[in-house]
Amino acid sequence: MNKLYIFSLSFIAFFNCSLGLGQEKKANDSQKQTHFITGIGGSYVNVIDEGISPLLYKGIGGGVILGHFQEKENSINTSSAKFDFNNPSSSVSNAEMYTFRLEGHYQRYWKLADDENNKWKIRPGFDLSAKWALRQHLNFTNNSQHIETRFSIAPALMIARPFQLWNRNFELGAFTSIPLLTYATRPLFASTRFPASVNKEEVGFFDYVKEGEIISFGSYFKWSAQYYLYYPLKNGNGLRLDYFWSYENYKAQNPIKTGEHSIMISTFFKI
Amino acid sequence: MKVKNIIILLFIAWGFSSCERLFIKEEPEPENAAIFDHLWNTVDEKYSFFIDKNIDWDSAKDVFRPRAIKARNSIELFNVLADMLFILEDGHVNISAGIDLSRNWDWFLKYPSNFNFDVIERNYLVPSEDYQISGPIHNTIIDSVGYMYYESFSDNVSTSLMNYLVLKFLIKEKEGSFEINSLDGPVAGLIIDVRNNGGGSISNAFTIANRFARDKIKVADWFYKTGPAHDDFSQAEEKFLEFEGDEDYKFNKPIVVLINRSSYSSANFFASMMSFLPNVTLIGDQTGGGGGLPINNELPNGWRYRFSSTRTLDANGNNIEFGVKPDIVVELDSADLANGKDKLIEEAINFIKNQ
Repeated sequence: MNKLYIFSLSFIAFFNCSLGLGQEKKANDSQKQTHFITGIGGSYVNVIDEGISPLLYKGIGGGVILGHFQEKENSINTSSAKFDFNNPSSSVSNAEMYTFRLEGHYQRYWKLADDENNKWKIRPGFDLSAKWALRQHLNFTNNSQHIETRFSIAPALMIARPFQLWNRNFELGAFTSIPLLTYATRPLFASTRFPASVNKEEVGFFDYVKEGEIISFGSYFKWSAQYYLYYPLKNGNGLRLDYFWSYENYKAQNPIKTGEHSIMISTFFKI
Repeated sequence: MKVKNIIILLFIAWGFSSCERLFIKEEPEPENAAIFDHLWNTVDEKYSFFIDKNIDWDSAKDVFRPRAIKARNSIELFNVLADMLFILEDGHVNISAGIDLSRNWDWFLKYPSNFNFDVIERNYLVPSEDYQISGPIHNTIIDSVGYMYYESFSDNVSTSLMNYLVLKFLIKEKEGSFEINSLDGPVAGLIIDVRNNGGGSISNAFTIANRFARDKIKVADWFYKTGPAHDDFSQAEEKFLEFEGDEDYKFNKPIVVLINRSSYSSANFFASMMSFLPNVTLIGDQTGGGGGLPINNELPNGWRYRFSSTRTLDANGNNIEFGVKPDIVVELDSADLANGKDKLIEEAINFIKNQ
């Protein structure tokens, strides 16, 4: 219900916004351009982190995104840093937690031959990503805060479909990736302490990324997808409506499953 | 592209992306067996004192699982789970279900209380013109000995508060000016009373103990559970005390820590740490124990529970889960109590004055 609400609101807001803004009739100038991205939106998470609880926690929140998008003649480079905060709760225990997630991506896609003339533009590439997540259970004491990190390398695919609607140019598209290899860290089996911080008075920032494990299919599966609707404006700027989704299943000592959704409206400033 | 096609594409994408709920599910009303198994398995894999206490957890499953399955309602199920956890003999183990809190409080209920705050308040604190309640610490000077009563390590203390209290016990007014750390200052020593202190934050224990430490000294080893086997523990995490506070006035006079069976968890750890300082003497009854850091979890039906997940050995290798013994055993005397005397405080004052 929450997801439907956010989705509908964002969709309507985007169209209201975009229809009021001017556009050159033939905005074919998106090629060979670099954009700075800023975005904001709502998010929704499902999480069962058995290091915390066997119960499903689900709830809404919000997020922001910063990034860059560079389109060249033969390739596309894009990077982003996305932060979101959620307040999921369990309908069984009525307990709540806060989740904080910071995720960075660098993606590169290559244009296939005759990309410009194809209606459907299919671009293979790769996605390097890093994630830091903190889950804070509001009713727990010594183990209230669980931190985890991931570093993944994944083959990726971009599909884009420019089209005209009401005599205006749009582009509908998607990015998707499934990691092949991931380096993951989780707290100790029955603690929130990290292996690398045992026997240290002060926990260092890099202790959270030490002594993890390299994982792949069988013990780890993640599928990320991003769907977008892009609306180019005058002067090469643009607006984009994004729907992000990811599903993660990590069979660690304390298994974890998450499903994360967010909808964001981003501005593309030509730089 | 037609509008209809765009909308169809968007909805397909959106619907497709929601499929994770196929894999992230929860049982709406879990069976008794599932609830029991989750509790038994989690405790089996993460509880830290099976070996130290020689507990046969497998036989507990044989005994209690059939009873749990037969439970006709949540109260019966709760009682079965509570009975099973009782055999862990651990004050850090509870189930909270709204209807009740399971507990094993034998660690203090089987022993004399050796504490009566009413007697202390009416006969030692209120009559004294030095009596203050500084943050969570009741403090005064009794017969030229400093006295601090700290009721709960859940109430935060700071180094600056400890600086103030130490200054209060050391400063001496002399001809219009003040002398600090004078041997003939206002107190001959200090009593830190942690009787009936059921614990709280370990960091508060360190804040107080560090204020009275001198050179860096090892006081304990902590071991974290790292795997499901009963002996899967991390390497030792060494714990040290080291002076923290205003260097201008350290407290080098005799200190007595008063303890009883209700000094538990962080208070137990505090007593253990303080016992390694050369000017500290423990007086009273053995502490109640509680040497493991408790962690929380939830059952599939939403009940919350907690249990110990670490082991603590003091610097001499003693497992403090079983309590810390006093250097001088003293018990409250009912005749003294009737006369408004706390025998432990009286003994502590005599002990300090005879140093």
